[in-house]
Amino acid sequence: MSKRKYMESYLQYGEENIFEAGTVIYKAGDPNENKPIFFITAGLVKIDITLAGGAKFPIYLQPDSIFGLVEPLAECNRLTSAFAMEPSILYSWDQENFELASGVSWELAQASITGLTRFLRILNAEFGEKIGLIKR
Amino acid sequence: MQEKEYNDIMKIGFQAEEAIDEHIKEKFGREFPDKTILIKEGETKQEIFWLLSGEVYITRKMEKKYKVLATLGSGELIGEMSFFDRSVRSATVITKGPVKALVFSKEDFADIFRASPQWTKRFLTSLSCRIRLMIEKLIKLQ
Repeated sequence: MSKRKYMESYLQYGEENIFEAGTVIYKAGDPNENKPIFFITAGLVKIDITLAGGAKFPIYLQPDSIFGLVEPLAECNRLTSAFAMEPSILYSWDQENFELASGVSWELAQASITGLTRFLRILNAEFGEKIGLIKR
Repeated sequence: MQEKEYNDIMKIGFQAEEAIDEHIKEKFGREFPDKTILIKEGETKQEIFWLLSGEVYITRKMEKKYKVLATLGSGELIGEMSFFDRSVRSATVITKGPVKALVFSKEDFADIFRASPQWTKRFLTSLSCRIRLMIEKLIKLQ
């Protein structure tokens, strides 16, 4: 199956959103209701984690990345903030439609798991460095 | 729909889910004795372990000694990071007492997904909870 074809199989359950550069997509602390899950089809998104003392720890995401998935699944308010750094096209699903979409597409399910494992690896490395376990 | 019919359909649904779970446990379940090395730091072997019972030590070699980073137990995924992003193993995982686990290869995982997408949600939820805990720890760090 072509990439376009399998993308259509899961994007059909979402909505296309266009964000101008500099737009806040969501902020840390946003409440635990109707939180969409996003897929980047074009552009660049920055995820900021604000550490104690106000320091920010940024992660940049490119097309084919998924974000906003942790909070609906872990049932909590937004833990991070997300910004469009360039004009960006994002597909968004609510949790129900995301489950439908990932249920029909192994590629989406795999991309979601891969995205989360990479995110976890970055966080583990940052944590290891902060407590002096890892030197980078 | 009559309530009885609805209840019957729900019951069949749950029984089907349990049957898949049992089939997966039978096919992929393995038992490991105490002090078994499940994963070795630096390896590229691609297997993922889902702990059903028992505990494991997550360790890392620091100079000449192994330091225990964490102890993980039932319901935890082990080795998922290297499994999905194809990187080398970043830690050594050793059983702490007898352990029962599901052991999957990448191909197995795709087959399980096709048979029961619900398993993917369980994986995603488990990872999300770990990310939440790690972000909360990071936010608290000075």
